[in-house]
Amino acid sequence: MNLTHHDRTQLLRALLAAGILLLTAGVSKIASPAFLSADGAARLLGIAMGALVVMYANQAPKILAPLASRCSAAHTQALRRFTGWALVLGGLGYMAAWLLAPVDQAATLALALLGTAFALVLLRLLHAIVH
Amino acid sequence: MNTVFKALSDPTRRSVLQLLQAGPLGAGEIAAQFAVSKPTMSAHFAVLAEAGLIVADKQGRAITYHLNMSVLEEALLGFAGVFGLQLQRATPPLRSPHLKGKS
Repeated sequence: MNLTHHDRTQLLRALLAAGILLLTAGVSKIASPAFLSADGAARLLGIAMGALVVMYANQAPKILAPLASRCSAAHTQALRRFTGWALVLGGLGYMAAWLLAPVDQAATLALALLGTAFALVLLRLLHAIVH
Repeated sequence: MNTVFKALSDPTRRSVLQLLQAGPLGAGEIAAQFAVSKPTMSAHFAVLAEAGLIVADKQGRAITYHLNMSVLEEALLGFAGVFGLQLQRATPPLRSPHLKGKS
């Protein structure tokens, strides 16, 4: 099987993502409750999930499929860049919420931040399609 | 990642990327903005393309360059501009978009 450089990069990124999740779950399982509280394990998993969002969102401007002939090349590029930045910042917000917010509010805050980023991307996408 | 740092270390190449942030441009349109020879400009395009920061769309003899930067690479471009990641002198742009309207 001949893999292109792009295929290898994608494969490595997917393996890294799986590794991060498995490692986080393993550490949480092994370390709790002796070295890591349930809250600590939840925070750790939240931070890992946020890191994955950031990792994939970082590549979004490069890998998102073009919007066919709906938009001009300039609009498509602007949409890709906006998507990447919004989701990276949303992912960083998700990580920050799990890192810094009180644990009983962390999930809500993290989802609100990431959800806002997704909503902004959807609105921008709809705007691009309509206009 | 080395190729990305190499590409971003040159002020002319950073200016090309900043021009492309507004949208895809033809090779001639970009080259017209800088006081450098065509072979030099082609070499800059080649370095940027090798680093995966731009992609060339060839239609007949016309080449259009599109930006192809990840968020991290764009952030690095911003940092390089602000903190002066610079290994050589900048090629003065003839008609920089930042200088429009100024004498």
